[in-house]
Amino acid sequence: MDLKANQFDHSAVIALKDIQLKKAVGHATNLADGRRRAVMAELPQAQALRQQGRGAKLRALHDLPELLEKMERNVTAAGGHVLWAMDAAEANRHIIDICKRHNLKRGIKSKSMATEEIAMLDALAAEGIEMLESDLGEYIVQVADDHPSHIVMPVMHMNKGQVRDLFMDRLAMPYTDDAGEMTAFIRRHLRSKYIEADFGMSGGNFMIAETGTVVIVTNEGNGRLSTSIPRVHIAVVGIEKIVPTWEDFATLIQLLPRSGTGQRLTVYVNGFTGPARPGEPDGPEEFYLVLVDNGRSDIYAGEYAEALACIRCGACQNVCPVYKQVGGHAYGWVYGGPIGSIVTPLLNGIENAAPLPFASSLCGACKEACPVDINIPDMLLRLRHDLQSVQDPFWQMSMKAFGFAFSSPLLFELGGKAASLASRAAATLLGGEQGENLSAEDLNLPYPLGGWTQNRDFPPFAERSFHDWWRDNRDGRPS
Amino acid sequence: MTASSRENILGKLRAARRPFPDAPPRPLSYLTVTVQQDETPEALLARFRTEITSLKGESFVVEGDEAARDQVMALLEAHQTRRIVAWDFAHIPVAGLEAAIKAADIEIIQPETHDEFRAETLAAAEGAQVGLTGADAATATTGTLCFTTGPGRGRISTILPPVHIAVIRQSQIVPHLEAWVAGLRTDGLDAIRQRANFCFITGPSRTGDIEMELILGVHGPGQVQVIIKRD
Ligand code: SF4
Repeated sequence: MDLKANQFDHSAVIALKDIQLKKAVGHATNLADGRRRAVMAELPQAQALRQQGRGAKLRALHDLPELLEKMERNVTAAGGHVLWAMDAAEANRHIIDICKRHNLKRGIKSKSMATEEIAMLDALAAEGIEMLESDLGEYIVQVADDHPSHIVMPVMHMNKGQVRDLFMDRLAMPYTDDAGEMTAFIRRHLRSKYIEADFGMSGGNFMIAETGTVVIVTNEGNGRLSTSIPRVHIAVVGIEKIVPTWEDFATLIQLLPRSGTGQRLTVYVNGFTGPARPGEPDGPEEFYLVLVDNGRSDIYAGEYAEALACIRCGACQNVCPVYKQVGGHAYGWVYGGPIGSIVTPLLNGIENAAPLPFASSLCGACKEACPVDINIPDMLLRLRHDLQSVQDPFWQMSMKAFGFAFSSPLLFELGGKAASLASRAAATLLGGEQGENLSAEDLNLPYPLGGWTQNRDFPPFAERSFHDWWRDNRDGRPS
Repeated sequence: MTASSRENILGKLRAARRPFPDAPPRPLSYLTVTVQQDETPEALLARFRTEITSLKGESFVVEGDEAARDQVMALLEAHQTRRIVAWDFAHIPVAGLEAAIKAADIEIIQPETHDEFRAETLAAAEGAQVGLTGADAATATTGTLCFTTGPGRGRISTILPPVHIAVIRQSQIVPHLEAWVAGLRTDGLDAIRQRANFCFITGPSRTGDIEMELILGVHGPGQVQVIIKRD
């Protein structure tokens, strides 16, 4: 997927004006967060369990190279194949090679952020290999030619009416306003596809090193169908997904759904240790694990290795006051929300996602919600600081001023107001439209700002500062 | 090249200053996520039933083989079953079940997808109304059925038809997921290494993708019915 993170400010302004989007995202995130709170409150030892989960991930990262080798040994001993990919292009090449070797033309897949990250669907399509998403949300995204906007709820940005219109338009679904009937229509529509598919694909939520087991979770059962019926199964998994032991896995596999959807367990927790064994009546005859680095080893070697502890539950997105307002697409890449604001710059170069570390109020809700207690606000703050050293001298200067403003809420607020007024005035002077239509594109700033904004999207101050927004909206919200 | 990418990735990871040298050591005993104070068989049974009900699954407790058989047959009849996909009956803990099903003129398919009749088998399996299985275990605190694969114990029966009926013995109910993992550890991890697949199934297939509205039976079974035979 094309990286558009530097357009955050522009995209966010558009998103903020989209009433339907705000309603849909607000509704979904509030519900998911309420459910998370309810099931976490059930656990008297919730905090200790978070630390137990965190400990498992940190130990895994400490021993990452050894655990990956162990994983490889165990998968190979089980009769599976392990392929290593430095980057997205190599991962896609591996997958296409496998398809050619086994003459695979039609695939069906379950939800995977890793395959989004490597833009696999486009790579396969270019080779004439058909690939169907089978998760309902991902299927909607695929039919709509859209991208998922949330880690676990891919179409939370759409409402029922939009889904209905899409299915009627593209799939000739008869009119209905009933989500159950829409779902039943898709069930019938996809049924034969599982059986016709030559190969199934999945991501991986966890890899259990000590047995060589790749684990995926799905609620719909599509992951189990697409990995049980076709003859070949290819799992594409980021190298950071490893855990050492089954006990570590047992903790994390329960924290994940509690934090993500407020379930005690995902309906299908499905694990693969190699291909079907002799005597087993079904299951794939070939099993491939593609281990994807794609920038992770750089993160590992740097100051932000903690970002690799993420188990992709989406809880930080559901609590983030910025995400809740703008939704996931504004972040301009695969991962939105607080963890996306860290991972996107780290995986793509910080200068290519400069606004994201600023797309946060640093309120700390993300860290508090995170099942493995990742210190997201701290990393965002450090990334802001890092931006100083990669940008040019003017940028450094302005960031220092920014940092100064950030040091005091009052100064920041005043500065924001002044900048907002000034940029409106500038836009008017330059023949732009009036204030309320001002967007980042209109914002051609005069020298010395102009030189910088000619080839970059300058992060403008919001028309309405976050402080103003917050003051008007905080009533009735949990503080 | 694969070989060099492998070396590159591992090399970079090894060359890095190791993160988290102060990560907590592996706990001597792990906290369980869910808690089940009373581990008597009756308490485990009661908790399992409460949980599976809250997941919109159903449970039936029976005493003896005859009652178990009657229960299975009653459910098959309620689903107007003409065809089932099933495990090998040796792994379903109800004596005389296969004969009873055949006597009711219900077709039994035990899908085998590794032979030359694959396409026909799958097409036929797709038309089945019910999948019938046993299970390796069940966990009380989450209402979960635990499965591993092996000869006669495939995956398709648990996932393809719109209804899944599983029969277990009461003694197969363990307190929680961690207890099942502890059993695995005691028996030796080779059991897992030698089986291609394990699966925890917790209630019927569900989605909330359209406006977070709960819909059952998206791709997997919309109904999960567990028959528990007292020991
Ligand atoms: S950072 Fe934490 S809360 Fe956010 S997705 Fe990752 S694990 Fe979940």
